[in-house]
Amino acid sequence: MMSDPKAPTSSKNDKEVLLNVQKLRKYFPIEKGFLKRIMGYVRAVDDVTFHIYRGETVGLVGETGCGKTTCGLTVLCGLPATAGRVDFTFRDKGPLDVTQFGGEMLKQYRREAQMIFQDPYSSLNPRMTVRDIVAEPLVINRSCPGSEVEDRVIQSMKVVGLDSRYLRRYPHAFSGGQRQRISIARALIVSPSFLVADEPTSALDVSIQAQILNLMMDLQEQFGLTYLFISHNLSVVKHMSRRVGIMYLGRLAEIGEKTAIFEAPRHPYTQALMRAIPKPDPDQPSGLQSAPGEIGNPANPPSGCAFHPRCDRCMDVCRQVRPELIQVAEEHFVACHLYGEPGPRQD
Amino acid sequence: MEREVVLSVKDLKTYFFLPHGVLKAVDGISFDVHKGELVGLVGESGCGKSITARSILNIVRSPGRPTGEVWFYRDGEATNLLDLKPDGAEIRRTRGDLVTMVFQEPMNAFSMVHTIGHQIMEGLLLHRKISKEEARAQTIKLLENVGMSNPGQRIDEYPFQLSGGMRQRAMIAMAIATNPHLLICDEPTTALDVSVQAQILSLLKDLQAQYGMAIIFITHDLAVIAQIAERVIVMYLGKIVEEAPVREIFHAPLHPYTLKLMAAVPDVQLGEGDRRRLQTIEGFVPEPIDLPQQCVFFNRCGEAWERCGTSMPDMVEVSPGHFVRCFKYGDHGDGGRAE
Repeated sequence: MMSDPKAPTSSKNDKEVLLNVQKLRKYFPIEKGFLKRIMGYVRAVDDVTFHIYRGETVGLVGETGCGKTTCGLTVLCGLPATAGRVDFTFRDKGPLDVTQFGGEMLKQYRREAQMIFQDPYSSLNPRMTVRDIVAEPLVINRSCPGSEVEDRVIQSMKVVGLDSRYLRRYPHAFSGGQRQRISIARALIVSPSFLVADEPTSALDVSIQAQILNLMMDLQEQFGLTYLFISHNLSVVKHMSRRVGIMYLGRLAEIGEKTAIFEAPRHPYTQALMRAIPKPDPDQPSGLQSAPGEIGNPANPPSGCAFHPRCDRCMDVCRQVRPELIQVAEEHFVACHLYGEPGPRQD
Repeated sequence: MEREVVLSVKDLKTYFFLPHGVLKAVDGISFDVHKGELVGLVGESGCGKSITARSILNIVRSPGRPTGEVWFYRDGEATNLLDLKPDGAEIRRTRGDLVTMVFQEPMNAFSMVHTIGHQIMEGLLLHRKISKEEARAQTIKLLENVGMSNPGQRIDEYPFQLSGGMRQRAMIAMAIATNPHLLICDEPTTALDVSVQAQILSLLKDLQAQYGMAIIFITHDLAVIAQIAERVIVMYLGKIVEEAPVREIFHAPLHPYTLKLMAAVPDVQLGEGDRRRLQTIEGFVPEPIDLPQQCVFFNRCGEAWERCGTSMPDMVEVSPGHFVRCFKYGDHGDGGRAE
C-alpha cells in the first residue's frame, strides 16, 4: 500500500495508518424521464486521497455541497463507492479494502467504525426508547449475547455522562446536548476504534457545543479513538484536529497539519476561507473578504481546477489541467498549479 | 454619544400565556438605538432575542403578547408601536417604511409563488408614490446594490432558483428598498457558509455607511458580533444581563454569563499546543415559566452569593455606557439604572 506516490511516506515508525483513502470517488447519477436514462453525474466525491493515523483527529472542512458528508459516509461504507479504495487497518487482520466488503465482513467493519450525526433532533428515532436506540448497533451486528445488552447500554451511557435512570425515556425528553450524548453513546457501544463525526455540534449552542467537544476529546484519550471530524466551522475544526483537509467541489484542495493550514495556507481557496473567518476580537478586524462568486455545480464542475473561476491567481494552465495533490512540505499536500511543476497530465 | 435616537424600547415584556403557566420570553428590557448605529444582540437559543425583534415590530403571534413601549422617532414625531393595532393601517405605515427585518432563513421568509422582483416591489409600491415601471427600475438597481450579478434577469426569478447567499441578498434588497431608519437582522448569516457570510456582512456594513441606517443585528455568534457591532447587548433568559461598547464587551466583560460565553468558544487564533479544554457552562437554560425571584443566571453561575438567590440585581452603569446586571458590581442600594 506504500507503492502509490501519494501514500503516506512517514518516516516515523510509531505512527500506524488506520485509514488510507485512495482516489475515492462517489458519483450520483442524474436520471431523467420514465426510463431513468442517466443524463450525467453529480461528482460529490472526486478522487479524494488522504490517510488517518491511529489515535489522531483529521478535520474535513468545506462549504455546503462540497462533498464532505458524502466523503464521510462513503468511507464508512454507508454509501457504496463508485471507485477507489478505503484501506482500514483491523486490529487482528491488518489493512483491508472495505469498499469490497459485504455481509459478515461489513458487520465486522461496522464494529470498528461508527458515525455521529449532525442533527440530534432527526438522527434519533422518536418512537424508540434511549435503551433501544443505544442498543441498536449491538443488536444489528450481533456482537454480544442478549443478556448482556442492557449492561452494555448502561455502561455506554455512563461513559458519555448520561444518567442510566433515563433508560426508558424517549428522545423528546432530552435537550439538544443530551441527545448528542445519546448519539455518541450509540456510536461507542460497539467499542469502535474509528468515528466519523459529521458536524456533531453545529445544531447546538456554544455553551453546549463546548461540553460535547470536551467529551469527544476525553473519550479519545480514554479509548484511543480516531476521529474524522467533519465541519464547516473552522474554529471548531482547529480546536479538535491535528491535521485538516480542505474540500472544494468534491476534491481535496489542501491537507496538512493544522498550524500549516491555518497559519500558512497554500491553496488560494484555503487562503480565501481563512480571510473569511470572523475573529472574536474587535481590535483585529478580519477583512471579511472572501473569494468572489459562488461554489460551482458539482454536476458540471469548471474545467481544470474547480476553483479557477473564483481564484485571483488563476493562470492559463488552471483552466485546462486539473491539479494533482502534490507534497509541498512534510505532511502538507496541495492541489494547485502554483506549486511544483505543472504536470502534463490531463483529465 | 449625542446621536439622534431612532428607536427607544422601554420595559418591554413579552409573555406567552400557555395552559401550564406564563412563559416570560422577554421580561422587562430597555434600550435605545441611535441613528446609523449597529447594535449587536447576543444570546443562546431561548434567551428571547428573536422574540425581542418580533416584539419591536409588534408581530408576535398569539398566545404571546408584548407590553411596554417601543418608540419610533421620525422628524421629531414619536410613535409607540405597541399602542397601535397590530394589523391596523397605521402600524403598516411604520413597518416596511421606518423599520424592516431580515429573517434567518430566506427560503421560509419569501413567498414561493411570487418572483423576488414582485416581492421587493410590493414594499416600494405600498410606501412610495411611484409607478410600476419606476418600482421595477429601482428594484433592479437595488439588486445590483446588494451585489447580485445580472439583476435584470434575476428580478424575474423565483426564490427557489437562487442559492442561499443570493436569496439572502434578495431579502436584504427587499428590506432596504424603502430606505428604512432601522433594519433588524435576525441571524441573517447563520444558515450560510463562512465565505458567503463574509460577503453578506461586508454588504451590510457598506449599506449601513451608504444609507446611514441603524441596524440591530441578532446572532449567537460572538465572532460575527466582534467584527461588525459598535455596541453589544447580551441577553439571558429574557433579560439584558450586560450592555457595553464592543471593545469593552470583548476585552473587559463583567457579567459571569458573558465571561463564560466567551470562554466556551474555540478561538481560531490560538496556536499549536493550545488544545486546552473548553470552558463549559454547567446545566442548561431553564424554561422561563414560574421562575423564582432571583438572578436569572443563579443556577449556573458558580460564583453566586446568597443574595443572588433571593433577589434580582438591577442594571448598574459601571463605566460610561457599560451596564451590567450583577451584584458583584456597583451599588445595589439605590444607584441602579431604573428598569
